[in-house]
Order: sequence, then C-alpha cells, then structure tokens
Amino acid sequence: MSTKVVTQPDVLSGVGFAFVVPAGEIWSLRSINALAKRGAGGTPGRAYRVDITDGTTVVGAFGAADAGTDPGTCEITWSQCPAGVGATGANGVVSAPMLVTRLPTGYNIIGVITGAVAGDAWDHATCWVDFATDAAP
Amino acid sequence: MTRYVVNGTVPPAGADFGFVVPGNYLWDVVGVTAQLNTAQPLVHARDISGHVKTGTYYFNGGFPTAHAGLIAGGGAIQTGNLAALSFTGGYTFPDLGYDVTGDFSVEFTMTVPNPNPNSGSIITWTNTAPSRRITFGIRTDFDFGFLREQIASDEIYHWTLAGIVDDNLPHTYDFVYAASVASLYVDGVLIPPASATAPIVMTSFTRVGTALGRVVPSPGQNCIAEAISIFAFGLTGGQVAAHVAALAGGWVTYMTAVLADLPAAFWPLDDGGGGGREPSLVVSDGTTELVAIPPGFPAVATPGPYQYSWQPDLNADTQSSDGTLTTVAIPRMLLKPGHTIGVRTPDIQPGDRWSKVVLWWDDNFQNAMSNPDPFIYAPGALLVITPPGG
Repeated sequence: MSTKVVTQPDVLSGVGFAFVVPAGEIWSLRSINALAKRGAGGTPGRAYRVDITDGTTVVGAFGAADAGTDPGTCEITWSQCPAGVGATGANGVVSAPMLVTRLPTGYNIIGVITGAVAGDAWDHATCWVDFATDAAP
Repeated sequence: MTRYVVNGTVPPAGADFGFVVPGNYLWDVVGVTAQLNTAQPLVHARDISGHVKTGTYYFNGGFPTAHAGLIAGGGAIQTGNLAALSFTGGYTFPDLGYDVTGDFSVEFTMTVPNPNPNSGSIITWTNTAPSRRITFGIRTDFDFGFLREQIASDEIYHWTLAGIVDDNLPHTYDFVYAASVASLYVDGVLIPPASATAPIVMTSFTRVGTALGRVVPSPGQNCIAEAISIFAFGLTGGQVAAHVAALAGGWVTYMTAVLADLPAAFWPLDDGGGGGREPSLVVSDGTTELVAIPPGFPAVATPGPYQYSWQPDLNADTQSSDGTLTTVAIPRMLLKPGHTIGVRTPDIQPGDRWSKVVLWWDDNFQNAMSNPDPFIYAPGALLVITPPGG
C-alpha cells in the first residue's frame, strides 16, 4: 500500500465537493482537508458534513462544526481524531472525527456545507489516502 | 521498535516551528511537545458591534513619555501602548503627556458597563505655555460625565450630564476647544456648560448626578474604552455627528470616519477579555496542507508559558485547570520525506517564543507493511538523526 495526496476533487462546485475512488484502487482515508469560504450571516446555523457513499447509498456521515466570525473562512480536517474547534477572528480551524475506512472503486467522498448562506462555497479540498491497487481475481 | 527524539530548532521570537521529514526517513509520529513563552497576554480588541477582533495593540511597557507635541499636518496614527492597565479591576490610564497649542479636540469612544465604584481621569493633557490642563473623566456608575479645564486664568467649565445609562453600549464623548470656547458633545449632542469661570482647587473631579457636589480623587477609571482620538483642531459639530453616526456601522466604519478627519493621534484600544494564542498542528506534503488540528480549548488569558503536547491518542484532549498545559489528540500519521509537521499560530505576537520543541517518532512501521516503502530505513544499520530538513 502506498500513500498519496489527491488535490483535485472530481467535483468542486459551490457548497459541494466530491472525490470518487478511481478504477482499480482501494482507498483508506487518512484525512480530508477542506477550506470553506463563508459569507455573512451563516453563523450559527452553518456546519459541514462528509458523506461516504457506494455511489448510491450513504454508508457513513461525519459532521464538523463551524468556527470563526463571518464573513471569513474555515479550514476543516476530517481524520481519526476527536472534534476540535479554534478560531482567530474570521478564520476558523476545525477538526472532526472520521472513521478510517477502506473504500473500493467507485465509492464517493462527498463534502457539503449545511445551513449555507449566500457567499458560502468550498475553496478547495484534499484527500490524503493510503491506496492499493484492487487486484481482484 | 526504536523511538527517536528530534530536538527542534528553536524558532526566532514571533515565529512558529516546523519539521521537515528528511530523505530516507519515514516518521511514524508519536508526539510533538513544545512550550510557548508569551510576551504578554493578547488582548482582543472588540469592535463597536461586540465582535472580537485581534489587534496589534498590546501592552508591553510604558507609554512614550517624551512630549513630542502635535504632529504637524495631522493624520499620523500613533500605535500607543498604554501602560499600567489592569484587566481585573478596570483601566488606569496614565497621563498621555500630549502637549497642545491652540484649538484641539479629544474624542473618546467607550462602552459604559455595569456600575463601578471608581472614578478618575482618562486623560490629562498639558500645554506648556500658558499652563493649561484638561482633565477628562467619566464615571460609569452614576450616569454622568464631566469635563474640566484649568487654564492660566483658572477658568473652569462644568458640564452636567444625565441619562448616560450603564447599558453596555458604546458612547462617544467629544471635547472640542475652538476659538477659546470649550464644548462637550456626548453621543453627538452638544452639552452646554453649566457654569464657567471659577477658581480651580484640585484636579479631582466633581461628581454630578445622584451624588451632586461630592468630590472624589482620581486614581483610575473603570470603563471599556474603545478608542481615543486627538485632533489638532476644533472638530465641528457636523464632524462629531458624523463620527457618532458611524458607530452604527461597526468598528471599521467608525474608524474610517475618524481617520477621514485626520486625527493627530489615534489609539484604538484593546478592552478586557484577554485571550491567548491558539496554535494548530499542521501537516503538509510540502505543498498541500493535509491536516490542521486546532487546540480545541479556549485560549488562556493569563500570561504563559503554555505547554502543548500533541499525541495520536483519542483521549488526549485535555487542558489543565490553569490553562498552562494542553494536550491535543492528533491522528496517527506516517510521514514521508518532504512532509512537514509543525504549528501555525495566527495570533502569535512578536515577543512570543516557542521553546523545548521535541518531536518523537518510531520506526516500527516496517512490521505493518507487506510491501516496504523504499524510503524505509533498513533496521540494524547505523541511524543518524539529522537536523530537520537536513
């Protein structure tokens, strides 16, 4: 098994992003790191969520809190760690627990800004994964 | 299993630290510990709307005592550090020692909190010739304010104010001396003087309002001051009104309006509340940020040093009761050459200094991998710990 960093989501649009486990690979997630741009007025209803699906069915959902005043930004890291929140003015930093799972080809990792307001959008998202080729017989 | 310790290079003051995984190593991170020595507590400035903002104004010593006089042309902003400020009992402002000649204006913006027992001088302003001292004070517990001027001919002005409620809202007080006339505006409203020309006895204050006529000394002042502006000319009523109106737009709007009239000196002030630094542990592949873990605990208001320990232990999130020791749970991470691990402290101050920086890592990863990464160091061979990045 090797490790790699995937910096280009398959989908990055507005309040959503998505990574798709490519053909022939199995992913074990080390972390998902994403930066949300936040418009004014989203606090306190705004939050973040990552859904793991098999392409159709949600098999896992992992939430994360918002942090910082808005408008501003918030950096979220989903990983195998407890939840944590910190902020310096309009810039928030959040950690959220996420089960490290082995995801077969075609599985989706979908990020969503919940309770979004105008001006909310993902700026970028990164997956840090251990991966192996799917040497299925 | 062999555990290695890397003593990190102590960064310079005001800088965060980090490690770079050197070539031919694979770091199974066991933990990172470091101590942050803070120069002084970071006090968060608060804008008019109540939102906390980080500021560059913090208290690290005495206010300049040289009386430089008014800055020609106005408009220069002084970043004054006011000494002797107490965050527990309120604020004692020293004599700012600002000499003036001719017309001038002083504008304060303050939030009036719940009743406080003390009264006193916020600013004493001395003109060298002729002797002129303006002492401006605000009492915050009896709903009044006053201004008093002492000049060579011992003139004194009294203002009687009523209805300034301890309402935790910002108020502005503008003292304007123009064409030999002293005027006081409170929240943009001109308050005519109640009396004039009487001999000055002391520089203490006369309380008006519920304790009319009582004289109290002036040791200090309890209030939440937002800003002090000194203008090298007499503000017009319209300018005062514009400043007051700008309060509704928040701190930036107010400051913009004040600065548009070119104050000779302008101090946005930090108020009480305090705050500490909030370092996040950050891991990258050398280019892309992969993990950023916040401390997860509120910043500590008291001076440090602050000890941090980052560990891949889900139960690690704890903080000591005095806030000086914080452990933070981080994910288990296996870092390859070129990866970086360090901290990012957005509100680190120039006088802060990280010390005792230590990174622990194991090389027991080989047993868990069926196809050893070629970067894994072969067991049994001489292992030389190189400096981070080396």
